[in-house]
Amino acid sequence: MNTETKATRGGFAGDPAEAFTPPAANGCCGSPASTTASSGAPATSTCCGTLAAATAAGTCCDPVAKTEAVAAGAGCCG
Amino acid sequence: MIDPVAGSMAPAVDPGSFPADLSPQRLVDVVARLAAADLTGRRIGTPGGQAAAAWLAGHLADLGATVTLDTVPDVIVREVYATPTLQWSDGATTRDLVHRRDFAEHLASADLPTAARAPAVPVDAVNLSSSWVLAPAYTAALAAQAASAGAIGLLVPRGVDGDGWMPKMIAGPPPAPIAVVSVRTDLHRLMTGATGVVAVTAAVPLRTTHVNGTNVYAVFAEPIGDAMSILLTAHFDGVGDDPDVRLPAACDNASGVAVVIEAARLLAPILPVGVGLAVALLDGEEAGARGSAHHAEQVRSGTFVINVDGAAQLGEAAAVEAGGPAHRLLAALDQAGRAAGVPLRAGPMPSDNRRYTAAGLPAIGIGMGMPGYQTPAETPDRVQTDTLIEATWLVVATVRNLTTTRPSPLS
Repeated sequence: MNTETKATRGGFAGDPAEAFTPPAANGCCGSPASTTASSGAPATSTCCGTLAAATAAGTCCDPVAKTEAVAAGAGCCG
Repeated sequence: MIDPVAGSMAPAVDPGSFPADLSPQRLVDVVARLAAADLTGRRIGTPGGQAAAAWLAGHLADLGATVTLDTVPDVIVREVYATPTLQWSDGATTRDLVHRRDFAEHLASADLPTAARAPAVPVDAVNLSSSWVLAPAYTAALAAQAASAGAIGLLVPRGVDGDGWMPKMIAGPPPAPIAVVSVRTDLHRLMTGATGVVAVTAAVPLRTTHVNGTNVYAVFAEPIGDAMSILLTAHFDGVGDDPDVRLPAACDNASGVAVVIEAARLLAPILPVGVGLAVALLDGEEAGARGSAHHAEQVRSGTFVINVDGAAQLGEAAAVEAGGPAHRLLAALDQAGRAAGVPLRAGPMPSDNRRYTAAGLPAIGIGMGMPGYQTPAETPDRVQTDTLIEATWLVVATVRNLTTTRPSPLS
């Protein structure tokens, strides 16, 4: 492994503190490598919402985002 | 970049010399074992899920950990107990559609165990009685309205993923009073635009079950006094095989489990004396992060939690979400990422880490890709060994950084 090359690409490109307020989930549970919908409505819609909304509700996922995901047929993991 | 409140930064761990004994084969073997056919996709409450927990407990004990099993009680899941069917005809052509390719159970569906044949009518039809209703989207209100009008069920559009699958979910709302079927968008459009009478015959064998799960806890080192304590977590459950099709759940999350186990194996002999190190392999994440919700309240205050959900295909960068008083943990991760050459980005990780955050613990969730997410395409060959190695490296280096740097007064 080329240490020099990897060292230049590793870590956060921006402010690590942004990890406390990441954008709402596009997809569910992690970062699926392939979530591109090939026909019409997304297979995995925005479903889990923000950490802040989830924490406020005492759940894993934002209840509003989860409801919308279920309505779209994609469901939600948390 | 270092968060100014994160604390002092010692030189990063040299990625060229550490950890020398990381075993790619161990990582691959764990993924292969958890994805094997006899574990049936590891859905919570199934014999396959229980067998997975038992195997993991034995594996961790073999590594020298003190292992306990903990029951996660009364978890609700939506279970496809027979293969759903859908056939439609426009008078000239009859088509048998393929489950999870062309259509899928909608999580809000009522149980429809045997196929019901009826004409398909638009949602604005005068008479919905004894019909399948072609609706542009699902709402609970629409389902109630259609049910009161005597409809058999709703047909709503849904897209597919890049491989042409409809990912499976098992955590759903209370069932609607009628059947609901998700139909691939282009097919739904064909049905809606057909000029002749469309007849639909469909069954949706979907029921709500209450099950118990099993968390697997492994202690490699108890913390001494008020020394630092580290908890590595990953969920081992999957959404489970369909009745006739395998969903191996190799990426989500056999890959994360493999990483956590290997990281703990590497860390156990090298951590400073007194530092606590434990692993929690969690059940029921796919059912609403139930295993972690059960466990989080048992964890000692101040424990640093690192959760890995997906370590199969890194792509451009690992997604990282932080919660609770995790500035110091996040700084250690950033430092590890730079040392190990793993790019990081702030990204949503709505997984077990949020349960630990909700319990007031410093927690981060790391995601490094899930190709084939919750579909039959999520097979072991899609888990990249390089990503497993990088994820393990990242976790090990993060813990090393955390335990060898002193916090600033602000952290």
